[in-house]
Amino acid sequence: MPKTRSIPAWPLLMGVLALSSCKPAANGPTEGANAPRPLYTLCKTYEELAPLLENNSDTLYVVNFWATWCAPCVAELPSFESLYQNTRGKKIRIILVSLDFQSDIVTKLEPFLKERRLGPEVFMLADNRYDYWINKVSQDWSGAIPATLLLKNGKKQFIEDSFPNYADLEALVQKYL
Amino acid sequence: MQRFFAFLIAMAAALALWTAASLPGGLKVGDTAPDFRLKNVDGSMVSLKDFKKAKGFIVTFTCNTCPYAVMYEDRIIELHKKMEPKGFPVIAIQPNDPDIQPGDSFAKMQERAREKKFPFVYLLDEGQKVYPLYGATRTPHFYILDKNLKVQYIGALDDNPQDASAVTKRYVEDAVNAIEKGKTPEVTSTKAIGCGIKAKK
Repeated sequence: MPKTRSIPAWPLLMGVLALSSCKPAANGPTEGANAPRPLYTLCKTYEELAPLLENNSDTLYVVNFWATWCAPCVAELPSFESLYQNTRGKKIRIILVSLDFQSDIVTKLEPFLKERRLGPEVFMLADNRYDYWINKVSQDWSGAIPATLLLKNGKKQFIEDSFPNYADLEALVQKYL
Repeated sequence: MQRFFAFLIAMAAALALWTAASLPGGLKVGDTAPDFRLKNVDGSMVSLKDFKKAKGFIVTFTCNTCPYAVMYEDRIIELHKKMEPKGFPVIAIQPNDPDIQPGDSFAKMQERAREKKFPFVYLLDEGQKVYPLYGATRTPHFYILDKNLKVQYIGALDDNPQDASAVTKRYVEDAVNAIEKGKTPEVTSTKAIGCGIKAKK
């Protein structure tokens, strides 16, 4: 069960209005903007996450699949953090999708996120139908992580590889921005 | 005219050879898997052809350093204990480059095999030559071969990595049972998440 603390009114209202959507959980660092951002948002099914992975927006979506148990995934998170900091104000949305287990949320994911205080949005996908949704994200994906999806104007590029350094990630993203 | 046809055939053969040699994806279900000669944790060199009585093989790419793969270890041990007496041994291969991943060194593999009392062979893919031929991309990754080394199943062990007691589909076990009866497995390929394999680029 996702752990919730004091929930500000507006996410609760949004959650009630959109019952089949992911649930924001806990409160993370605020950004000095309107409302506190959740530490992460839990999606129990692929369908709840799908709007972020399948849309025709002209905003560039950079979706990284990772887990706290995946050492190379954790090692490349700073590159995504740098990307986030260097692209503020641009038409880009950087999303980190954790594939940690639901049973590890409280013991592993939450402490990890609290310590790291990551800038990009974090989602957690707790859908066991791996064989099904891996193909929905990309037919080219074998399921290995880390992996990153780029989506813009309905076109996808899928990278089943880690980014050894920030320059590689930035060069790739710059082509779309 | 004959020379022209001979030329065409030669070109076609060359093209076929070239594409076969440069196939990127590795094995597909129905392909014949290559045999190999890799070092086991007990120091001996092991090939599939050494298993004279085998009716098939459960080739498993796994490692020490991926917590996801480690989580499957107990199930793999149980699988071997159940299937080896039927003629289907687990053949575990560690595909990561120990230079990049010291936790997967041969010595560490030996330690792990000892600790967990692996009943199956645990082979080092020295030089990282075998896993690309199979097309393994993650740990764990399972390839079920029949006794002619024909690939009958590729993918995940079962449908619930998180909870062994909540598994509803035992893909590998079902595939082995089908092969035993001389049938094609109902499910021949599945995808699952896992740690990417670490090799020098």
